[in-house]
Amino acid sequence: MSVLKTVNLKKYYGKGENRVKALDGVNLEIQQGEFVAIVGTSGSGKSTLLHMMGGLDRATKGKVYIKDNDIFSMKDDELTIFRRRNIGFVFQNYNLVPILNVYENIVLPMELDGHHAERGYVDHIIHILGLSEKKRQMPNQLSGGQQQRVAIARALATKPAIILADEPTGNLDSATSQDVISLMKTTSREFSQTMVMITHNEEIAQTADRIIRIEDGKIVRR
Amino acid sequence: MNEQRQMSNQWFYKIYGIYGAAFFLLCAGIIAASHLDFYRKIIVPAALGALALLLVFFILTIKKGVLSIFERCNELLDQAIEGRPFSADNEETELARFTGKLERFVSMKDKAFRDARLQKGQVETLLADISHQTKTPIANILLYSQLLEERSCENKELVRKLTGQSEKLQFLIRRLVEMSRLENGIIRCMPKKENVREFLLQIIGDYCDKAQEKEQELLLECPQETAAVFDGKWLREAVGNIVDNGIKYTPPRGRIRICVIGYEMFVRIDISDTGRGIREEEIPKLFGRFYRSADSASDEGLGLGLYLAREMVHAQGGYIKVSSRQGKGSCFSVYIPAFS
Repeated sequence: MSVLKTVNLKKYYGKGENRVKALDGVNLEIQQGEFVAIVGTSGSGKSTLLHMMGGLDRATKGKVYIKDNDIFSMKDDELTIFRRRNIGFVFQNYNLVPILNVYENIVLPMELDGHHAERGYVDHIIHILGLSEKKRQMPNQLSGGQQQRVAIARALATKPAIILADEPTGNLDSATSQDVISLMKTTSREFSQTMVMITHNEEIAQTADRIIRIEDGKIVRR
Repeated sequence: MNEQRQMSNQWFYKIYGIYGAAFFLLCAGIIAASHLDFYRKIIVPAALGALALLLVFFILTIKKGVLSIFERCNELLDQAIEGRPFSADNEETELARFTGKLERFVSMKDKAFRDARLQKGQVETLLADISHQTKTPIANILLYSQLLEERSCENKELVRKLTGQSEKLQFLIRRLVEMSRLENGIIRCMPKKENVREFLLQIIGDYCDKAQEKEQELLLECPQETAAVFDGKWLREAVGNIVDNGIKYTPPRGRIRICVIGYEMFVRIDISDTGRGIREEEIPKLFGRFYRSADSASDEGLGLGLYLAREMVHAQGGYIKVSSRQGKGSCFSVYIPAFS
C-alpha cells in the first residue's frame, strides 16, 4: 500500500533569469512500512522535497498524495490539522519545547489534538528509546543524541502515516548518529512505521531499505 | 425501518419546529415593537428578552445532549480498544443502533484475529511434527550409509556421495523448519545481558578450523567489558552464518576481521572480509529468501543463511547493515541492543 506519492513535483524559486529549479519533476512512491533514505549533495533539492512531502511548503506544480489525500488542495488550516494527525517530523535541531519536560514534549502533539495519550503505548516508546529515566528532565539537561531520541519518540507517539526526518544526525557526532539511526531503523520495524530520512551521509543512508538519490532537483537513481 | 428512523429523528424535528417558531416570533416582535407606544415598548422587549433567554437555554441543552452522545461514543471506542466487552441498549435510538453496529464490527475483527491465531497454532504443530518425524529417518539413512561405507569395499565413491547428499538433506530440513518457525514468530527469543567478547570467542572457536584450512586470518578486536542484550543461541547462528560466508567467499590467505564498537544504545559487531565483494545493486536482494548471487552460483549453498541471520537479529531488536566494495571485500555490521 502506498502511503506517499508525488506526481511530477516542481518547485521553482525566483523569477526570470534568477529562477532556480529546486525540484524539477519528481515522481516517487513510498510504501507502507518502508524506511527510505533520500541522499544528495547540499543544494540538490532534498530538503525542498521533504518540505513538499510534509506540506510545510506548497509546490509550484505537481501533487503530493498522503494516504490518497491531495495535500495541496487543502486550505492552510486543514493542512495544519492533517499534518498534526498524519505526519511526524524529526528535525536536525530537534525542535523540542524548552519549557516542557521530556514526557510533556512527547505527548504534546496528542494534547494539541485534544485527546489524552495512550499511556501504555507512550511508555513503551519511551522505554525502547532508553528515556525511561529521563522522563521528567528538561530538554536542556539532555545530550544532543538524547534530545533527538525525544524528538523521535514525539514523532512516533501519534502513530502518524509517515515520519519525515530532515538530517536527523546533522548535529550529532558519528557514534551518537549510529545510535539514533539504529533506533529509527528498529522502531520503524517494530511499529511498522513508514519513515523517510534525508541525509548526505552515505554510510547512514545504507541503513535504509531503499536509497533515493537526488541531483539538481531530479531523481537520478532509486 | 423508515418509521423507526422517523421516530428517533422526531426529537430533532421538534427542535427545528420550536427554534423556527421562536425565531419568527422574535422577528415579528421586533417589527411590532417599533410601532408601539412607550409602555408597551418596555413590556414587549422584556417578553422578547425572556424568549431569547429561553432559546439560549434550549440551544445549550441540545449542545449538552450532542456532547453526551459523543462522550458515550468515545467511551465505547475506548472499551473496544482495550478489549472490554460491551453491549447495545435495547432502544430505538440512533445511539443504540450505532453501539450495535460497533459491537458487531468488534466481534467480527475479534473472530478473524482468533482464527489467525488458531491457524498459527496449527502451523506450529505441523512444523513440530515434520521436524520430529523426519529426524529419525534421516538419522537412520545417515547411520546406514556410514555403516555401508565401513563395510563395503566396492562402490565406496557412490556410498560417500549418498552420505553427502543425506547430510545436505538433513541440513536443508533443519533450516527450513527454522525458517518457518522464525517467520511464524514461534521461536521465542530470550535476550539477556551477555559479554560480547566471550560470545565472539565462541564463534571464533567454531570457525577457526575452517579458516585455517584456507590459511585465512581470523581476527577479533573487542573491548573486554562490552555487554549487550541478546539470546546467545540465536545470535551465534546469525553471526556464525555471516562469518561462514566470509570464509567461503574470501580467497585463501585472506583475512576476516571481527570488530566491536559500543555505542550508547547499540553494540555494533562488524564482520569484514577481503573477499570478492558484493555488487551494489545486489545488496538489497542479499537478504531475500533463497537469493543466490549470480557470481556465486557455482558455490554450494541454499540462499537461506543471510535471510535467517537477518530474521534472527530482528527478533532480538537489532538489525544488519551491509557495505561492500567490489573486489575489495564486504563488511556486515550487526547491531544489537546494548545493555543500559
